Amino acid sequence: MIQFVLNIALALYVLGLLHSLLGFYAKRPLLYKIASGTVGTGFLVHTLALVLLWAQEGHFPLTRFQEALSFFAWAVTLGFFLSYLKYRINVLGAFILPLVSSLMLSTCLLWEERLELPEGVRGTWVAIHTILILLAYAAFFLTFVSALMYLLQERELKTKRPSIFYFRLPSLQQCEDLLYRSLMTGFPLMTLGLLMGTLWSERILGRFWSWDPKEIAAAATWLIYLVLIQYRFTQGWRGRRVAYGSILGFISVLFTFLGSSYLGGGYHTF
Amino acid sequence: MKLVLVGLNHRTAPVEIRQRVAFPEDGLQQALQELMRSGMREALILSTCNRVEVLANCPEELDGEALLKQFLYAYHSLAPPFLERHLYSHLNDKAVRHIFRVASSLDSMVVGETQILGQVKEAYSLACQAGTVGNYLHSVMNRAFSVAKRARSETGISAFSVSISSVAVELAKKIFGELGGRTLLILGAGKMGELALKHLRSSGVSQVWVTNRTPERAQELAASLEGVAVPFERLQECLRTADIVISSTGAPGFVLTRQDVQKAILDRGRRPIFFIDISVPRNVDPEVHQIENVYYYDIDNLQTVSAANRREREREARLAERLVEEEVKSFASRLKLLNLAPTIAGLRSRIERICQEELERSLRKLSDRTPQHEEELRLMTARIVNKICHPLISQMKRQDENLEFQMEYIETIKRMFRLNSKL
Repeated sequence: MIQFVLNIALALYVLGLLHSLLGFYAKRPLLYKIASGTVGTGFLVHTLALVLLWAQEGHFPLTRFQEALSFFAWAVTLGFFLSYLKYRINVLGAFILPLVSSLMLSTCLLWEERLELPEGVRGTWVAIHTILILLAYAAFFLTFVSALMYLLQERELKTKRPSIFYFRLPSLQQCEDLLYRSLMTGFPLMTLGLLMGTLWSERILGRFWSWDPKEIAAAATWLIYLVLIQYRFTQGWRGRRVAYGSILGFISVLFTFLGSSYLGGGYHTF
Repeated sequence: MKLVLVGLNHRTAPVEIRQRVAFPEDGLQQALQELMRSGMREALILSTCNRVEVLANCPEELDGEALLKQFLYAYHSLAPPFLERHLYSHLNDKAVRHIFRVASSLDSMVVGETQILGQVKEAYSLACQAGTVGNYLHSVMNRAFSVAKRARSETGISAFSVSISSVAVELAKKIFGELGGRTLLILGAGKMGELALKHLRSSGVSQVWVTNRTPERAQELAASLEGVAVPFERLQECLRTADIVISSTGAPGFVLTRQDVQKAILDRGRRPIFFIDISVPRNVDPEVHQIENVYYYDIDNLQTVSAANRREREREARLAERLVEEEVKSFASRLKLLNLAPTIAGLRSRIERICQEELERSLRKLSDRTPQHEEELRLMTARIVNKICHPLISQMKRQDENLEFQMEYIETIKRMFRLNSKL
């Protein structure tokens, strides 16, 4: 049942992605409207799936890797709608939905019946820790996308030969606005999330820090963003430098989220 | 009735011919009256520097094309062989398509230019004043206006600027987003920059500073732009705040070097700055473009962008053509509604059938009826059918209604009585 609902959400996201890409290419407002309509419906269906799952499992459904992928996709879509409402950047979908669709695809492909949970992973604290961290990642993904759009548009303006991106992408100013806004949303969320994590670790494992690969990667990611924000406000870093920093930051996020588990030895289930 | 269009444009006739055939604005009323005397039911003349078009609603039995050509020859006293090869003519659907394309600026020299729609509207209102526009042209022209509006809003034919000054504004917007709250610095008071200045001023730049080697000229320009004149010595200081700098001095060399701008960009906390250098020789070192967050465009660069915009417009024009094609089809199919015979027949038989069925049912129930009763009931039914049909049909046949309204009405009738299957 839940798998079925997730599949519907996936189908709607993919449909939205296709219309966004077409809309980006052809610049038709109608296509963008269809895209936001389908993605919006997809988001509601996805939310329904989360609620059903929550009811079925009896705790927030964020204890397995597949559930984390699905929740991450959900959070990114949420971020997409919030920034669309604020900035009305039509082309955003073409940049954001590829990730949403592939996260959702992985969720659906990897989905399986309930497995036994290791003790201690259940509980409100750990759920809030995971929710905060994934919301932060979603915000950082928006930062990454605005950095990408900024760099593409800046390149258009610097080469003085307008091509497909010049006409479609928003102004540098808008890209920067979205970049800072999402960065300054993601950073506090991550800080809080990490704090929850260490406190929980202290309560359950008796220590704040275990040198778990994921912990180290997360700390590195957090530091990258800290330095970036620090330079932004004290050294007046702008534009290209901040954009590069945001891209580096998100690579680190990806490694933390997906890569560091493969190093082994950690106690994080994902 | 039929729609006929005869005309010439920048592609079919050189400027000398176009000038000969152009109608002076004050002679237009009289020319329109003359057209009506030649037997046209309605007429409209569009005369601009790139085209002259005569559009008329001509009675079926007349050769409209020949009459309109005749009118052009006679009015301008030109020999037919001299003019004929420059003329094109379109009938009915093709004339509708042509006028839609003209209004949407797809037939213009610069595709997507916005002047033509105004000129078409002007021609229409002049013909209205002359009393030569009736239902038919009225609906054709109003549809043309709405098609033009759709083409502009749903495709990008007019979205990208092609004039140098509006390209500069567009670039500024790509850098700064909205220009409200931005400061514009004008370096030098050369004539060349004035159009660009007006464009920037009208796009919301909130503050304008003018600086020049000779302060009087700066003051003059500042006054005309509601700006502030700044002493030339304070140029470097101005760069700390100004976001857009237009330079058009007559200086023989660089007024601003890379070092000046490098220093300025640090002073202003690396906020972006946009130089538009329209002076020849150039006044700002083009090297400044290499500096982070500095954008420098000279006149050649602006031209490159303008050419790219033009290509983008042409791409959009193909979409607009498709849109016009759709509109022509739907308009033509609505015009067919004006052929009333099948609708009237359908309506009558539909109402007759309803009444007849009810009559038969009642007759079956009246077992003690006399033939006289039956006859009277049949007559009554026939009268009811007539009384219902008469106002419906006479409304359909009215000539004095607005054509759009009329077609709307006919369509409503067809929907209400489900007549579509019969047509």
